Amino acid sequence: MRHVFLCRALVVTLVAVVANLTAVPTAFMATAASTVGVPSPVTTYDASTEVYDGILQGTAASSASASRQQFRLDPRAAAAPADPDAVTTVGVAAKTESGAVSALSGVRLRAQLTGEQIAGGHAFDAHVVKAGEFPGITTRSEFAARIESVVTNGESRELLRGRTAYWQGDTVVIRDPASLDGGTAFVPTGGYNYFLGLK
Amino acid sequence: MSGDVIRFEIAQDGLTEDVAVSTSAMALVASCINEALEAVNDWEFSIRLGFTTDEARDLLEQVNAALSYRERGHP
Repeated sequence: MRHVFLCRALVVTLVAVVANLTAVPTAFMATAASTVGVPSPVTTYDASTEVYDGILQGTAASSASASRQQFRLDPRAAAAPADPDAVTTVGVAAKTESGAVSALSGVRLRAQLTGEQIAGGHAFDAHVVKAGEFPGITTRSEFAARIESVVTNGESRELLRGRTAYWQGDTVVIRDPASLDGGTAFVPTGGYNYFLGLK
Repeated sequence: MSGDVIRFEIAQDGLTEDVAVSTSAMALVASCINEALEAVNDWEFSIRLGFTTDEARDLLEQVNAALSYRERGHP
């Protein structure tokens, strides 16, 4: 599954770069996804070689020679489960159009990994199967997609102890990096006020 | 919220503050903690509340001890 994530991230990055060839300066931003138990790779930018060292590695040529785009996967990415908290962005992201696009890709990747992690935990059985809080959702992948949508498009609040809460529609997602489940997602009976009351 | 008050001294980051809480409010706090422990699954407790069940139980014991102390006629 992780390969699917990383491949999707690669495709998104490639499309972003190709779509902005005339505006692509010399850089694109790499997103890094490391794994539980594996030290997070430090995403670095080498301006001289235009190579980023992260989970996604590659070179982006200038607009004059942008026909050659090379990417490769860091083997560390295949060694262990993905950790959404390890998806990082680098500071150059906002400085270029392509960097901004790639930063957006990083956010989406992180949201996707968050959805997969939470959907793979207790929340699916507790809130989808037993409580029936998500009519129409029957699989973990559908639940993951719903969580991803809330994280990507919803309102967010920073909570105590490194947690983050997201709200969209009638759904709350609480991301908790300290939890083995990665967090939870459910439909609170208190609605939006419940979301606002979270500490 | 009415009734007698219990005074606390909250110390954090080198600052202290006196807080007065009515006994009925303390009883509500104790009830809320008790209900949360009952209603929220262990795996989800710290995710939703930000504190572990052990921390919640410790606080519940402290609140109940303060209420019991007052009920025994201590000021």
